[in-house]
Amino acid sequence: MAEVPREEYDVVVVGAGPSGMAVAVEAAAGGLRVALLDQGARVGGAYWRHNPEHLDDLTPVALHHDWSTFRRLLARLQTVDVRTEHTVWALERLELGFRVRALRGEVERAPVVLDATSVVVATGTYDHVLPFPGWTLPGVMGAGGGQALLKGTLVAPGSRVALAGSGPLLLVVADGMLRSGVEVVAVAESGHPTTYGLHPSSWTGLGARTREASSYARTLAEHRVPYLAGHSVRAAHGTDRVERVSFATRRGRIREYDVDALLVSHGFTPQVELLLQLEPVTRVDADGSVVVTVDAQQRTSVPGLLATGEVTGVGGASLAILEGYVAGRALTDRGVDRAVLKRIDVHRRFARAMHSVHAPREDWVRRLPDDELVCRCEEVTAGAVRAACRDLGVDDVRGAKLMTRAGMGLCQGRMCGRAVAELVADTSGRPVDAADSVRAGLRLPATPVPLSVLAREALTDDDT
Amino acid sequence: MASPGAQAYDVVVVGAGIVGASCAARLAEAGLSVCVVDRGPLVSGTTGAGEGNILVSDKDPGPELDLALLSVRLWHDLAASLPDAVELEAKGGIIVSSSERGLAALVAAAEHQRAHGIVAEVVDPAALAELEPHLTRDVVGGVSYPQDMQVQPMLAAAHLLRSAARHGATLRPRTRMTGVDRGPGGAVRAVRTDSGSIACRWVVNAAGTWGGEVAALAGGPVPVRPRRGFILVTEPLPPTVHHKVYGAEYVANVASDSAGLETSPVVESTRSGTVLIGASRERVGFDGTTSYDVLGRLAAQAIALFPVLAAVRVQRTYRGFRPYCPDHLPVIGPDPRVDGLVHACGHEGAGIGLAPGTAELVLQSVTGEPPTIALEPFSPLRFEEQAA
Amino acid sequence: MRKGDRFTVLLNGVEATAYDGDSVAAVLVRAGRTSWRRTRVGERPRGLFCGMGACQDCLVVVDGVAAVRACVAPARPGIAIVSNGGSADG
Repeated sequence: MAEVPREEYDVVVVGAGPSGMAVAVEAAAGGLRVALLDQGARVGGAYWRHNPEHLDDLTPVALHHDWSTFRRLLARLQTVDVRTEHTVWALERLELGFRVRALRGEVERAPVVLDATSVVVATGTYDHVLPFPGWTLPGVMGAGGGQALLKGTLVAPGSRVALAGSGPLLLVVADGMLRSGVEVVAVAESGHPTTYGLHPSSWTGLGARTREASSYARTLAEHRVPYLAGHSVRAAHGTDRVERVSFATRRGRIREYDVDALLVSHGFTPQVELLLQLEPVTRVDADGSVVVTVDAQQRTSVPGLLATGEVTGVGGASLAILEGYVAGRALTDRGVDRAVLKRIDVHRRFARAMHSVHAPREDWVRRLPDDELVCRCEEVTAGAVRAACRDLGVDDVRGAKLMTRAGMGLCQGRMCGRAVAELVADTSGRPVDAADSVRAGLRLPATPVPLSVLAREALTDDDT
Repeated sequence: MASPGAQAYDVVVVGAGIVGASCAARLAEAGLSVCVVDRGPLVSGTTGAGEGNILVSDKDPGPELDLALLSVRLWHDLAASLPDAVELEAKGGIIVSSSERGLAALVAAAEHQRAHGIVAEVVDPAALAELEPHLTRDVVGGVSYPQDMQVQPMLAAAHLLRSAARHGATLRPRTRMTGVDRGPGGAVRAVRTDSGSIACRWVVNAAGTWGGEVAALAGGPVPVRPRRGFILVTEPLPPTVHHKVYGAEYVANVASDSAGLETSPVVESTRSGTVLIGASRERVGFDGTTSYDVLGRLAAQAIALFPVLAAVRVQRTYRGFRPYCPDHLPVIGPDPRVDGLVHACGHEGAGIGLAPGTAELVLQSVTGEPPTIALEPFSPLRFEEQAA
Repeated sequence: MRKGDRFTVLLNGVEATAYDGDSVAAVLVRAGRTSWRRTRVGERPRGLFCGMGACQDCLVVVDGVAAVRACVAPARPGIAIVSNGGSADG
């Protein structure tokens, strides 16, 4: 079979969200030949998920944030080779540089191979959703996912929506839904955001952020949407789809609502699997997620491999854009103003404070019944994982995977990995190990790849 | 950290993979006091990367085949006590060839194997098409080996360890063996670990690919080296491949001595619907870096055998390091250089299949009973002779 | 009122309207579906979950190609979407 033709770039940026766009623009401005890849049909990532109609508007659209920044970066992408509908499945280190392997087209799955001197991974996050009774009912989805559907396609995830979990995303999504005419019946936050007060220093310099938060609170109040602090999801109820949700406080006070969609977020999971393929130095961030360690120029411990945005630590879009800017300039040996570095510092401090407020209630594990699924793909129950720990001595995520199949399905543990780790730790008594989490996060290929595509990697005898 | 109590064991088994687990189960069931140590969590070595092969089809008549036949019999016995979850299945294997010359070689080998107790039936293309409807029509024939079996190796090992524990064995994962203490007469009296000494009379080296390291620490070196292999796992499919299916090259590669890469097609379905695709062998030390060339060859070979797989997607790849000795036979039995040391490692891609037979021989080594099959071919001393 | 370009696709053999910017998932949700697939082991209904290509729950067949992520695949004029299950009630 013929080898896939390789195209060469100075820089390949993986992920065209705010961070990736910033890197690509800055690197191209410095004269480099840059390719910007994204699995979506349009750039913008999840944060700037948009509908083509939004591009007609010259004024900021109600659903979007920092829209003018997006328009500015979009215009400057003219000098970048933008490749949408490209899903990267592997990063390989070559003697000089890297080989990026991707599939073009969600249906076509055509092989694409790019060789680059440097690679920047800016692949963002997906929603972190902890299991609860009824969480696999249709209509229960990640809050970011529900928001992406609305922003990208103008289709709402439901007509009577509740939001639950923990974190600022809930307010953002609720606000967007309400402005689009979707009925939001309640927002249940399991933490107590008043604890921001414990970190007064974290708010300094983030006046815009403070104004933003109060504006969301105002929207909820205007629409008379109950904001239930200290409430977490007790169960989603329904036969073939979610029909009702019940929330409960730690003391057991219960509230129920009829819904046709339940949007949930317990934080974010950075998509680090491509980075992990190259074994850079990583760490476990304050929110429990595995992230890659970078220096002040966003370089990882692997020469030529940079990382920006959420994959270096969840901290929001503004921080991600700043990091992208820094990386783009670093790639062309240009520094940045100290003011920029100070801004980055401010954002990181705020991010740390956010993590401590919105830590999910630890008792989610204890409240998860044995018959509820933890692994959606392979349909493995919490009971099966607990039994493997009790009866077979499993005390780490890898063991749980091999013995119960949790994490062996098509999503390869993206949805269940963190939850299984905590469940195993709770049952076995052995705390979650950073090394285990890293090992569990290594996925090669990072997306399923047709055997016919893989077959083209075989070197013929002429090549060797 | 202080030594764990004053308990002395009859046997310390080093290595909690399939071989260590099998040994621990047999020893404990026989009434011996056993402690199993593993530097990692249970079943974290090569067993965790194994396909689950229990084969007679690829064994040359001789000591390895004798051990394989013994083991297959014991696996059948184990079926009664192991839960259904370990997916032990006598699915059978089929070797196919696309050339007349290749087929002739297979048929000749099969005749030779039949004379030594292997059931082998020559099958023509029509029969092949019935046994494997999705098999390429570009085959001239093959040989069917109904004795070949499949098991889920991690679960099997875990359940064997559990059985050992139920018979009184102590399991100490995340405990690294660091040496062996010998008494004034030279006999083993304790195994040293990074969390204290464990008094014992016997130590079983079931450390698989790290068996060479453990052997050296115990004073009875054996040349066990890693041989890397990759496996592709597809997305779940409806039942597609019904037996273990091998291209004819598989058998030859196992015995080869070349240092470079060898690949040969091995394809089978699992209970969950995924298809496992192997097999590759390389001597690259413990280098775990992904070789896209190897993955590509495995994919191409699988498609050649089962064209329907071309559009099927790989959802996961992984690799393991098989333990091998220069003559491709494992090391089993007492080490004359160290009184109390018994080896049980070096099974090169056949560890799962050969584990129960190995466990029986290890038990006999410890109790002094005559071994079911002769131990000389597996002797740890044979390498010096071979070198000479 | 939608300003974007309109076109038709086939959804389980029946014509359905789609708009510029739609994902295949949007077409399904607009048609009233919350689920459109059944899981392998327990035949549980599934539709959108993560909404961004990570969970592999929202899979459909598009133009004969199986296991396409509906939330990632763009709707294009004339494509044939086939869903293998989910609940009849949506």
